[in-house]
Amino acid sequence: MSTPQDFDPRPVEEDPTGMRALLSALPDPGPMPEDLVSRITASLAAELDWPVLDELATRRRRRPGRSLVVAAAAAVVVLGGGGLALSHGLPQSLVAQAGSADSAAAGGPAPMREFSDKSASGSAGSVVVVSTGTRYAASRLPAQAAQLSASDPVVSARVDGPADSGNASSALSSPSGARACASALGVPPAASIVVDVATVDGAPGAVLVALDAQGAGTAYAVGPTCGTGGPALLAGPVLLP
Amino acid sequence: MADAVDGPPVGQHRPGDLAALDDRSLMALSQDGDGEAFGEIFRRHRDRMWAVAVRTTGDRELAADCVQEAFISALRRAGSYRGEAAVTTWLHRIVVNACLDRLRRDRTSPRRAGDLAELDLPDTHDRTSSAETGLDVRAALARLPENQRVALVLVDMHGMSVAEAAAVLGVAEGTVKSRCFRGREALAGMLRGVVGEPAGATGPSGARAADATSTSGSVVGTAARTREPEAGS
Repeated sequence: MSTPQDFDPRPVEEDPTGMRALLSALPDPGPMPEDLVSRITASLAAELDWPVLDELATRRRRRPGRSLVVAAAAAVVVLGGGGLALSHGLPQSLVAQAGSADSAAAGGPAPMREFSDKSASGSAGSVVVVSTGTRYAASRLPAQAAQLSASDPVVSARVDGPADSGNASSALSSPSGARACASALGVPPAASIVVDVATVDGAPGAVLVALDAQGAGTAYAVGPTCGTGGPALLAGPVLLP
Repeated sequence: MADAVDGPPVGQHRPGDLAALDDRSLMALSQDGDGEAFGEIFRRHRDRMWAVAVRTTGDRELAADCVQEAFISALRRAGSYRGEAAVTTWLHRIVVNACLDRLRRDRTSPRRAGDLAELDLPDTHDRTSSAETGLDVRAALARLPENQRVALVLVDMHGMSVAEAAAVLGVAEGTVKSRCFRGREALAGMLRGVVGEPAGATGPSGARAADATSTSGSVVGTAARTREPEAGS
C-alpha cells in the first residue's frame, strides 16, 4: 500500500535534524573479531563437510602410503562435531582467515610429523582439535596421551561429535580456544598442538599434546575452562616418548 | 599456500585465483559446490556484515550469533541466489533478517538491543566526550523501532543508497526514506531529552549538543518509542 511517504520529494540526504551526519561519524565497530572468524569458519567448514565424509574415508583407505599435503601456513584441522570437513573440504580461504591453514591428511605418516616440521620452520604451530571419545584418566595420562600422539587423529576422530565429553568446553573445541589453553600452559606459539576434547576422570576436559620442533611431545590433561583465564591443569605435564 | 606433496589437494585453486574473481563469479562457483569460493565471499564481506549486525542489534554478543547464523544460512541458500541483486545486497538481506529475527525472538529477554546502554556502558570517569556522544547516539539508536533503526544503519551509517537499502529490506524506496526521516526525528528527540536543547541546534551534525551536556550515556527514560505508520512496500 502506498502512503504519502512513498512520494516524499525530499532527497534522503536532506536532514535538518543533523542526525545523518552524527550517525555517519560514529566509529565503525571494527573488523570481525578473530574468535568469531574462527567460529564461523569452523561452522562453514562443517556445513561443507558432511557430504564428503565417506569419500574421504574411502580415499584414505585407498591410498595408505601417501604422504601429507603440507600447507605453508600454520595448520588448523578441527575434527569432531562435524569438523572432519576441514581435513578435506575446508576452503583455504576460510582457513587462512582463521589465522591458520589446512592440513589435509591423506593417510601415511601421522599429521603430527607434519606439525613438527612446521614448528621447525619457525611459523606459528598448527592446531588440531579432535574428539576421539577417549575416557582419559589422570593416572594413565602418559600411556593414553602417547597413544593419541602416535595415532592419526583424522582416522581416530569421531565424526559424530564429542558425545562422551558431555558439556566439555566449547572454547577448547575451537582452534583459538585450544591455542589459548596452550598459551596458558606455557606452550610456545610455535609448537603444534593436538587437543582431544574428551573426559578426564569422568568429567569434561581435554588432553593437550604439544609438539616441539623435534617432534617431541608433552601432554597435559586440563579442565574445560583451560584458556586465557588459566590452565585448569588436571595432570601433567608428561613428556611423551 | 598449500604445497601438495601428494594426496588429495587441500584446495582446488591457486593462491590469488579466487581473489581475482568478482562476487558473482564466486557465487557461481559456490553454487557448483566450491566451498573455497564461498570462503572467499566470507572473507570479503565478513567485516561489513559484522558491522551491520552490531549496529542493528546493538549488542556484540548477539551480533556474533546473528552473523554466524547468517553466513551459514547464506551458504545453505547459495543455490537460490539468482544474480538479480548484487551479492553484497543479498548478504545484507540475510544478515539483517537474521538480526531482526533474533531480536524478535529475544524480545522478552533482558538482553536485547534496547539494553545496549546498560550493557556496554563503561565507567563514566574514563569516558571522553566523544565516547559519551557515541554512547548516547548508539543507545538512542537501539531504542528506535527496528525498521527505522535498520534503515538508518544501512543508509546513514553504511552509506547505502535508498535503492540499495530498499532492495536489502524488500520494501519500496519511499518506505526507506520515510523510515530514515522518522528515525532521525525520533533520534533527535531522544538526544534532546539528554542534552536539553535541539539536537541539531549547534551545528550540522548535532554532535556538539550531545557532547556538551550528556553525562550518563544513556537515554533510558527519555526514549519514547515512535511508531511509524508503515509505508507500503
